[in-house]
Amino acid sequence: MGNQKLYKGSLQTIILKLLETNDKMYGYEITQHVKELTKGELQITEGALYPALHKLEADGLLAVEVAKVGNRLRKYYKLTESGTKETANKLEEMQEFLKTMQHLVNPKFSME
Amino acid sequence: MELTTEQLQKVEDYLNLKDITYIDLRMEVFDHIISDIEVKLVDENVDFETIFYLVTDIWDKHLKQSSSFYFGVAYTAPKIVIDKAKKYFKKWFFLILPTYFIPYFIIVKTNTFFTEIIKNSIHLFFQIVTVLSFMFFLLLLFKKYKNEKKTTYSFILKTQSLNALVGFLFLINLNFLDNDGFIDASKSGILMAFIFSTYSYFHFYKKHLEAIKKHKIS
Repeated sequence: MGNQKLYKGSLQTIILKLLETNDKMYGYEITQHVKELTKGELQITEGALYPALHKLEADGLLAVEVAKVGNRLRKYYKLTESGTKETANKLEEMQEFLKTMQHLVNPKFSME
Repeated sequence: MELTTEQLQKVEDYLNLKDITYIDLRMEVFDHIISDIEVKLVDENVDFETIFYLVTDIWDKHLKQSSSFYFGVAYTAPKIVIDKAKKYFKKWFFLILPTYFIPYFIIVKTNTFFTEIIKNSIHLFFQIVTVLSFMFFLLLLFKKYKNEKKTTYSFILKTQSLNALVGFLFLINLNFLDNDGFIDASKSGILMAFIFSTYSYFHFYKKHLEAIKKHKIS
């Protein structure tokens, strides 16, 4: 929970990665999935999730699909073709970032 | 655990009270709140009323009335709508400046090279473009106000409607020549900015229609 600020800059990459794995997801499902995967370490708030989803949608990386589920309508997000490409780029960037951070915070370990 | 019709209605009333009547956001927020309440009802074994107030308390700050410099402080909407609208509108907002300054500087630099025939042709072209652009803007305004559905894009359109006044002011005085008989660079810049704003209005009107279509059940 104390690392929320560190995760903030990676929110779009997290969302893209989740959608790459799960085909299509709705907002609440994304928050719960992240909470579950990180054992509660990362909790995406509504105030962070929807602006990020809307930005990705505006950039053409996500497409929207509406379906009736039980007593209500549900808005699903899925990757577009360019979204799939961007996910690969973002994940590569993330790997590079993690490698650099590893060099910085643990130089001995990274030299091996 | 599915909510009863009365409980669903209570959430609907809450969203109406908060002015979440924009179809591209309403179903998403409604679904999120209901899903959260349903899960918490099972996990925390507390009554609906308590859970409802807990969940809506989290949402209150995202749904409070807000405004933005990009649209003008007179235009208010729930914060989640403003934030989404800003994401779509920001680049169009900043493009308006070059659409004024580029033609302005081109006219300033080239004005003295124009022969009478070229000057008169440009003048006539500007007059025709003004009339056509204004008529197109009026048509879009009429179509938008006939369509009562609300989306984030219709909020953007509402904030940009007054741009039609610029076109109207041009129509009152269709003269694009200055006192010395040269093309008026400043007026030309404003005209280009008006044409751009007509195009951006058309763009967001199309997006508004697309959003309505997209949020129908597939």
